Amino acid sequence: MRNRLRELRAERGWSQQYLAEKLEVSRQSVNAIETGKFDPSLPLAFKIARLFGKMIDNVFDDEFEREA
Amino acid sequence: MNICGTSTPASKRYQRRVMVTMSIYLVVVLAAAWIVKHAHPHGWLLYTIAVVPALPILGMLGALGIYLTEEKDEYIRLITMRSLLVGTAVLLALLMVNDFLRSLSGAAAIPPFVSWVVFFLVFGLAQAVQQMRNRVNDDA
Repeated sequence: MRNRLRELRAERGWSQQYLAEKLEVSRQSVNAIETGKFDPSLPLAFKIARLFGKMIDNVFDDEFEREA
Repeated sequence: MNICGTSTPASKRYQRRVMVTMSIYLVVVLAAAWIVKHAHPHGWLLYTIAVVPALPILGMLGALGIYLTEEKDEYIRLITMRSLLVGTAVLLALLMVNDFLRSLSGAAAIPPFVSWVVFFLVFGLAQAVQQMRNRVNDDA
């Protein structure tokens, strides 16, 4: 699943560590999500979207929907 | 042991539990060896003394299970579970190949305790590989 996490984080000038602390996860988790190696659970995805003040589908984009 | 190289509250509790179980193991294994050597127990008492050192080691598995239920970081939990699966698969493969070698070619059995060491080595290696594949840049 693609996401705009890195882009949204960069817009705010946040480091991965700062974002990880905000989300109460490890920096490894943030990196894995940003690089598409790990898809977060629905609760974590909602938490990320809320943190950036976005709807969940403005942060995460299912590739299947993109191709359709 | 630092689970996945990332210190979380759950991994700190896991490390404390492992330290406790390993300390108990050291005391128990030395005591059991001393008793078997000097008191020469036999029958059910010998079996009991022989099994007792395994209990703290089984406690380490229990600590891993508790860790997995306590770990809130879902990515760290995922790579720990993957690593446990890799360790288990390699151990089962090793035991199965050795079973066939023993059955068909008369090869020797794997020496005692090697399987446990193999499991934890592969478990640790699998964690290290996953960490390396998800390296974070310092400037990120």
